[in-house]
Amino acid sequence: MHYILLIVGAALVNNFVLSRFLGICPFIGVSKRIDTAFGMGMAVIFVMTLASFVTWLINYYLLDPLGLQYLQTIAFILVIASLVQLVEMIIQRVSLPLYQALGIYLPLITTNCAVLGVAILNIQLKYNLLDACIFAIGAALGFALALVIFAGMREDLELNNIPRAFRGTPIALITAGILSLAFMGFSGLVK
Amino acid sequence: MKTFKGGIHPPENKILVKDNAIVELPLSKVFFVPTQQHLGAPAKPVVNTGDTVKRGQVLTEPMGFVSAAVHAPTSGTVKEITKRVHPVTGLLAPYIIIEADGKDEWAPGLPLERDPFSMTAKELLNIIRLSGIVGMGGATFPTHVKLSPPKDKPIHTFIINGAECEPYLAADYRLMLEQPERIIDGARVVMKVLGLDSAIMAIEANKPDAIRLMQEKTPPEIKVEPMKVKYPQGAEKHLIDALTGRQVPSGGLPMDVGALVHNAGTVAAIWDACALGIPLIERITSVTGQGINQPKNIKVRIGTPLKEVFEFCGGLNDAAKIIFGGPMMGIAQYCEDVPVMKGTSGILVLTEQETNLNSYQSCIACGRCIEACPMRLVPSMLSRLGERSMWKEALDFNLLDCMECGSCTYVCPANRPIVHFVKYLKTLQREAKAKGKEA
Amino acid sequence: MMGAMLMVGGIGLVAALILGIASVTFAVKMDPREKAVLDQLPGANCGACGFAGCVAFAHELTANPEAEMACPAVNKDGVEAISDILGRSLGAGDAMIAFVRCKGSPADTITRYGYVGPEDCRTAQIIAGGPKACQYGCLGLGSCVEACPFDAMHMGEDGLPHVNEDKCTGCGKCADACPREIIALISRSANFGVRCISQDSSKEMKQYCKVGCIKCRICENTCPFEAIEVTQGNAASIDQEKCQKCGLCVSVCPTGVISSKQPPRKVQVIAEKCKGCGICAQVCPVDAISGKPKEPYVVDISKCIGCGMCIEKCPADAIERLAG
Repeated sequence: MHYILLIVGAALVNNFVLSRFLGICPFIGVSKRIDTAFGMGMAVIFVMTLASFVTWLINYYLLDPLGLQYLQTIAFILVIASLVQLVEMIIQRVSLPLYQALGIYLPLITTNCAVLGVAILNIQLKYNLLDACIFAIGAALGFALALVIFAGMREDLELNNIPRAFRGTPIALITAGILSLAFMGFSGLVK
Repeated sequence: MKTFKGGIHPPENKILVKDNAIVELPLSKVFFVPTQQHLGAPAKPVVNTGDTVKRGQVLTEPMGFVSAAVHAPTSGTVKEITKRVHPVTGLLAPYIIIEADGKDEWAPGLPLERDPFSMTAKELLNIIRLSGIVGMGGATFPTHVKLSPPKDKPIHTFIINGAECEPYLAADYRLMLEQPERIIDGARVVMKVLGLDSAIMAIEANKPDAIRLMQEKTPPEIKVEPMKVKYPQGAEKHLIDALTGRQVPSGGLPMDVGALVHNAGTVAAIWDACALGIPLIERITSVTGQGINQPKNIKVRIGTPLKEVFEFCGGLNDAAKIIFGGPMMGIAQYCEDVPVMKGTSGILVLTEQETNLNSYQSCIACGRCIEACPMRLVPSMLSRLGERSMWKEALDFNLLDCMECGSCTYVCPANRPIVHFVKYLKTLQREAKAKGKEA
Repeated sequence: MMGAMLMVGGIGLVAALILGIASVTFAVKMDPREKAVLDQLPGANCGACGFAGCVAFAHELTANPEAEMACPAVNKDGVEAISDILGRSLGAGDAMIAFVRCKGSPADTITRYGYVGPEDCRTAQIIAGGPKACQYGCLGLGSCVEACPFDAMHMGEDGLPHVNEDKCTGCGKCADACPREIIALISRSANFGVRCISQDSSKEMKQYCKVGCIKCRICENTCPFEAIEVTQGNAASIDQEKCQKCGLCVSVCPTGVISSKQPPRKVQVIAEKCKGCGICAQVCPVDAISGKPKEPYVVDISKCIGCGMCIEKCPADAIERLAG
């Protein structure tokens, strides 16, 4: 039950994109088509979970005992960057079209504040290893959900006659804001 | 009362002409007979300039099974075989122009006197084919093809279409009131061809006198079924759905659910062909609308020039639009030099007040079109895809199932020309398909 | 301090090791040419080419033998280098520009019916072949203007589209949008073009258009370079490679259907250089040059059409164009 609450909390109530406003870059950048959004979502789930796992271990078994907590940020970024490189290589091998479709946004997961955010939050919220990983999975699922929903909306927006001044990013941002408002409806769902 | 999902209730406007008995148009001096008055393969002329022809003589030879011949509407001389504007496509098409000799003599032997019920189904089918009979509701599909379904798709429900759901039109209504025997006898001939012992005659409830008369006159094996008044009740797929509860599958035909529908006029023409040997050379047409001075239901020979029809009906008055067919699915004409054809169920002369010349706006996603669509499609999506020429995506939205009935366009509050967009997308798809075949 | 360096260094080393192994295990066979092409691209991943990044565009150029050079950031040398790598020439050819081959504004042509529907030439075309009586002429509803991504076309008051030459990139989207293939891409350096593609006979055309090509062949017979011809049933068309921009065809065309971008500049004789040989007077098609042997010749500006034949033939380089 505790784990379900963790996931629901991370995915819906405090959605990383729509409530915490992290990871906006890939959110706006990759959400033009549903299939690329889905691919990006899967990549982020992989990176977030693995990154949380490794960074938690590094924090509690390497940094803490040696009193090097101040290295947290740089160490975490190192780990995340390498993981993203790994994911890039894997995706390029497994699905070249997806790799090309994600383009620049795949390496951008590195500087994605959502991934670093999860890693740091795990430490701040004092989760144990299992909780940290489940939290990361929930967060990533929420990220993927927000991405895919938004992509669906943008695909439909493409077919409408948007006034010239709003075309492209402006209407996307307005829609994202309204989607955030919608997700506010989840607040209070999990105590 | 039986009905189908969706549909609309446009004002009937049949009052202009429905109580006018059928009158025969006086014979014209020149007849312009298009060689293509049917859906399907073209038919090539078998007469030459200068030939003498008699009324009912065959003029063209079909170039395929799904095709139909045309016959001379009167006796005279073939004046010219040339290209003129075709009422359906608006482009140039071959015509056989006949100069009438005024004698109106039948081809030798016609009219015959024979008993269709002593002939075999095969013989009857052959007669129907040779008589050039096509669907007279407007689609003009060759009737003998419809009556020849493949062996694995037998027909067990035959429906006579007396619905006439299009506003303004009253030709089938008058035919039912004035010549019910032709329809009933023709229906029995079709039942013989199909090997059925029952049939249903569907009539919309806005024609109570026709329903009563038909109920009196029909033998017990033909059941008269009053239908809820809704457009497009007269569309064959919706008649079948309403009467039998069976839905023709997407991309399919009525024979896929064992049903067959014929227009009342077609069935009457079948009787003429089988009992009297008379090919399809004339029809009943409603000439109506606020723009014509004397609306009439005329018995008119095919090939009669439109100008003469107008003259006979008192001339035009503030006409803004001329339509062959009904206001929902008919085809607007830009040229007055077109003739009446086999499928001309109505000639509408509309004033500006009766038409809609307004501009349109963006789709507001209100969903009215989705409610109205009798084929259960999403017309708003099709219109938006049409604006962007996205025909591939439109195929995913069942573009090819759209029967272009116009219900969506009628209800759209943003005044969007949805059927126009659908026709455009279908054109793009056809062109891409043709290119693909070439490649 | 030492500890920090060791820690970060240590993590980095471990990560590098894992990545090193992975780069071998997950290696993707790439066309070696693709790598070479990628090196020529700027690597900015701006997306102007229409692809998701330089890697994607490099792949497209290598894999698709018909791919065009769409990267604006590669200079001429770079384009040449890529052409060498791929073994085919890319876009380094002539710059192209859109040219509208119709002059039939509503004032000069017959309209058959009032069209009510979407303001799009393609949707109008499906209604009985369009509201214009001429089946080859411009419908004036602006599908081309709408399709132009560079805002280089606008609908003029004459009901015909006009190309802004400064903005036009020759991408061809307008030509694709036109349902009648009226817009053609011609070389930017071309000066003349025939604004009609009608295949109707002169007799048919007279019924519905005052300004189309009536296929009289006067241009064909007048052109000294065989650069314009009227082939069977088609409107006149100019072979831009043969055209020497003399402008003779324009001056003889009865309907004025041949358009010129710039009127050719007239010429004058440089008296000091002129040897009075008279060759210029001989080649002048309009007899605009006159003079006596061994004396400087003179150009009659009112007759001169600026074809430049005299400049070409003068052995003394004694004729020059007047300032524009």
